[in-house]
Amino acid sequence: MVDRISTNLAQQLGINAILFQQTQVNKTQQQISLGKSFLKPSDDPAGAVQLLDINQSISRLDQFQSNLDFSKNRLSLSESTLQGVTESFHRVRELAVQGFNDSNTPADKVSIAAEMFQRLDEVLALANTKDANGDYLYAGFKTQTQPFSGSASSGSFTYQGDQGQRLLQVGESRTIADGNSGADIFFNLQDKNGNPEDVFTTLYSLATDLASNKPAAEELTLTIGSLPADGETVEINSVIYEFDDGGGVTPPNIQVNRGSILLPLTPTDVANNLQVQINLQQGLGNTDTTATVNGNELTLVADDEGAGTLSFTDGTAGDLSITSSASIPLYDHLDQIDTALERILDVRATIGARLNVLDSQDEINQDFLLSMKQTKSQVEDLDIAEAISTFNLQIAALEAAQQAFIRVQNLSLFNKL
Amino acid sequence: MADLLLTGLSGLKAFKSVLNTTSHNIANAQTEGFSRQRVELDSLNPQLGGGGYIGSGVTTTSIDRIYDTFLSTQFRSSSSAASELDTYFNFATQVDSVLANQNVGLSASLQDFFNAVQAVADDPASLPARQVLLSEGGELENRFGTLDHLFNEITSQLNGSLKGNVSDINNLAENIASLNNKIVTAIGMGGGQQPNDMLDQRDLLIDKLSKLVNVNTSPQENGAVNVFIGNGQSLVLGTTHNTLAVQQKGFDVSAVDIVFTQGNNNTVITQFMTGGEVGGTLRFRDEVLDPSINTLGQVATSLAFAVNKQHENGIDLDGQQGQDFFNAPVITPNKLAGTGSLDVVLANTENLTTSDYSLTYDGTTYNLTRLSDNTSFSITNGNTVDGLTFDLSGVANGDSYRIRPTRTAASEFGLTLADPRDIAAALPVISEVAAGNQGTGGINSISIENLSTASLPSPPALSSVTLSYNNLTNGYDITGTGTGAGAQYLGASFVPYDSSIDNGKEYTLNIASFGDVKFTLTGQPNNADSFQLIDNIDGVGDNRNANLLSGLQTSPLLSGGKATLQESYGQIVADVGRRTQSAEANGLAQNGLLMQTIASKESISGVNLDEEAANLVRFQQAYQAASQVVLTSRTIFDTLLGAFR
Repeated sequence: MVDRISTNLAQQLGINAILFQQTQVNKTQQQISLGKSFLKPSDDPAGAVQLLDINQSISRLDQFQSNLDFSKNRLSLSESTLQGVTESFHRVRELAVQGFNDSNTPADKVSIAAEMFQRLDEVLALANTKDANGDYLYAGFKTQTQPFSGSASSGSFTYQGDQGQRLLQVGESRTIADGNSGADIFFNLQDKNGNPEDVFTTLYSLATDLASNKPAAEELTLTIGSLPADGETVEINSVIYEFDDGGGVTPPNIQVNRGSILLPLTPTDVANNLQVQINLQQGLGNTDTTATVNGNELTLVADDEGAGTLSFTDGTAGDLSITSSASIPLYDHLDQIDTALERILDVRATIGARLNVLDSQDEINQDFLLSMKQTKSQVEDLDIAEAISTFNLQIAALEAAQQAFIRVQNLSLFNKL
Repeated sequence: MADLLLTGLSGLKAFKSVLNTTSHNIANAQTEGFSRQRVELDSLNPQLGGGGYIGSGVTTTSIDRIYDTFLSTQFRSSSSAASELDTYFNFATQVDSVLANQNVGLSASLQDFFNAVQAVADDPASLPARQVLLSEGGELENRFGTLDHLFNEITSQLNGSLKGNVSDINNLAENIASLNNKIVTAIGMGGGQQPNDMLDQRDLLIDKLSKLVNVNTSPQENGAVNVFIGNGQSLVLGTTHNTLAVQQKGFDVSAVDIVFTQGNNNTVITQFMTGGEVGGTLRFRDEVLDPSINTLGQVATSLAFAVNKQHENGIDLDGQQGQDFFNAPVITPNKLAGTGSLDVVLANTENLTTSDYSLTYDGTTYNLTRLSDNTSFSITNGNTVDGLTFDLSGVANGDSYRIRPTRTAASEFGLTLADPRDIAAALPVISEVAAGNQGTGGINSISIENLSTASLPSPPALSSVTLSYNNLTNGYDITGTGTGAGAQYLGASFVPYDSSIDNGKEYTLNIASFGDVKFTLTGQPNNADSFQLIDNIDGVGDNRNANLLSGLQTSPLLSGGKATLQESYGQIVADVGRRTQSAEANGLAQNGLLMQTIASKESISGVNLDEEAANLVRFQQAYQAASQVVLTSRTIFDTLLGAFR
């Protein structure tokens, strides 16, 4: 230490002490009034960066909650719409079982079918539901395009949407699909034979069959897989049909042209010929079976209702040129309705699962948000008690410095001269 | 007798002189830079007289200032360092406060923008949601603009401060030179006596100078002091002085250099100016301001580039291909010398740095230097270095360029898209699962890259690509119609897929004249199960591109693929915060040191009023005593004269 001090320096040191204390007091005062422990990043650089990250997390979480609300609303709407569809289907199923009962008159059947057509329109309308924003629920990504066209009067139905499924982000690593495409739910189904079906055509053909008094009786499908040989016979409801290459048949068999050895016909042509012959016989009153043909498949329908009204025998046992399969239209239709119901229930199950996921994600997000806010508070907020006691100490120090300065000022030799 | 008188008179003279000096000290007790003066008293040579050598009184040999050169040098160097840190801190703290401010800082605005993207993803067909996104884009433009404006203001402040400092330095130099002149003359006239007050004044001027910049002094034999700054440039040589000036950096109208003017020569000495306010200001510019501007620019460029790139892979509400969302980043090199031209294009953001670059061509090699670490590369036309692709076809021999990829990016950042319908939230390709599929195979997570821009404004038409599963070859056969017919996976028309190992694997199909389509395959398909990729028509509810855009918020777009936009911005905040904090701490420490040197200096040279008061008393007594001697001598003389009457 030096043992001499200039007057100037002595005063300056006193003033410096006061200035220093004032700065401290001022800083603490600002902290207290803002309630923040650091006012600028330089007070706590690491904390400042942490705060930026936390703020981003909080902002993202708020957005995820908003996305979550959107998806919940849409999924709930979808769920309740599909519930309506399910109810309609159950009703139609009841009507089907009731309507195909033999005790109904054709007029009864027509009126039952009328309700079925109404149900069809109802399901169509439900499938074309729009949400609160005017977007179609079941059109995939084509939310401004009506997904299902067709009506109970037109009978043909097309899906005009696409298979898009929109995903919304509801958590840092969690996305949720906020709907299902109409193709998923109402189209792209398969019946028990693996043929494609859609629920509207199912309903339509059911209602149409009922209204047209189609018997609930058996149908027989004959498939002409390969060209039958000359002389092969089949017996349908007591009428024998013989396939002939031009050489003539034994009466009373009915001749069905299968082409000559040099110019054989195709199975499709043979099927056509057979169909023509069957319907001729029906017209002559020799049989009570009607046939329709589709490619190489013949569908035989009995004119009378009831089981056992169709019989078929393949004259040439062991060959596979003609195969048959029987079906009962009503049961076919009921199967199709069940397939559709199953699909709709599947979709409802996934929607339910997604809603559960959303609920739990909501809780997770809220927990995380709370934890983030706590961390933010720890980093940023001032410990008021600590700050106020520091403030008091600093004020005391400032007062002391000021007092000391005044006291020393009065000590000068000049005062004593 | 006469000796008595003379002795007495010598005492009077000497003590008067001391009293004058003491009163001078007292009067100047508060004068800045004043060193207390002391009179050196020496006894006069004795005369040989009866009985021995009789002393003949006192004389003042010199009046010295109590001054320690070593302490003075120490003080100057401490003062220079303290002032440097204080200036640095004052500037840095401004930048610090700006970045922290929630209303001005970039972070909140970035978050709002990406939240608005997600709001569009929630409801892509909603025009209000799209309009909000455009507004947020505009807000981002404002934020970048505000920050850029603030940095510009700090730059002007900085430049003004440097100009002021240089003007002060020149004034001081002039005054020191003129004082040198006066001092040399005064020493000459005084026969070697030091003109203490003028010396004090000159020292004060040099002290003030050292607050502005580091100086070295060299005292000359004739009493003048030469002052050197920077790297040995002579500011004051004897009685002449040179000046400093401020001039614009050639390629950057907003930055200034400090030049040393000697005669007709101007030498740039910016890099040698250390210490003092000038040094602190320049160091702030190099360490805090320029990197902050460049990093902000890097964030702006990367954001614009990445958003545009993703946006252009999508289609908008009218089925048109997405255009630029923000202004496409443009890099304009500054030509420093030569006749040619250089084009630089941004290739990717992952490798983009915050450094500036210089490129020279000497006829044989193109030399590219990264200025942050002075690494040099020798490049050829079309090379990509640090995310920048160089088109050297127009460069001529002798050309020299300065490339600053991120410097002006923040000010040039802007929203280009105006119509909310033009926001490309959808993707141009959608998948369709065939109705008859029996297996559980699925195709998910479709995204597009490098969508062809050949048919703008419409997107390229794909027609269709069909993937059909073949369980004999364990994979999907690729067929297609239209442009889709050109779809290839790794150059072949087959996608191998084994559900036991490839479930969830990502595949990329390259389709010439269309782009690259990425997707993942899942599940176990049955033989002949198929998917189709077709054009997305009327898919206004498609939010896939909006989701991909929102993913940019957490994508590591920067720093070699390690930092997100938010993290890079956070880097500036942390960096500036740390530097400010360290400047504050160092400044406190340095000021403490400075106080100590001042204390030491003051303890030697400072006036202590009590001491001077005591001196007044002492020498007043001595004067009284000496005048008493004169009186006595007169009395003796009178007595002698009286003896002869």
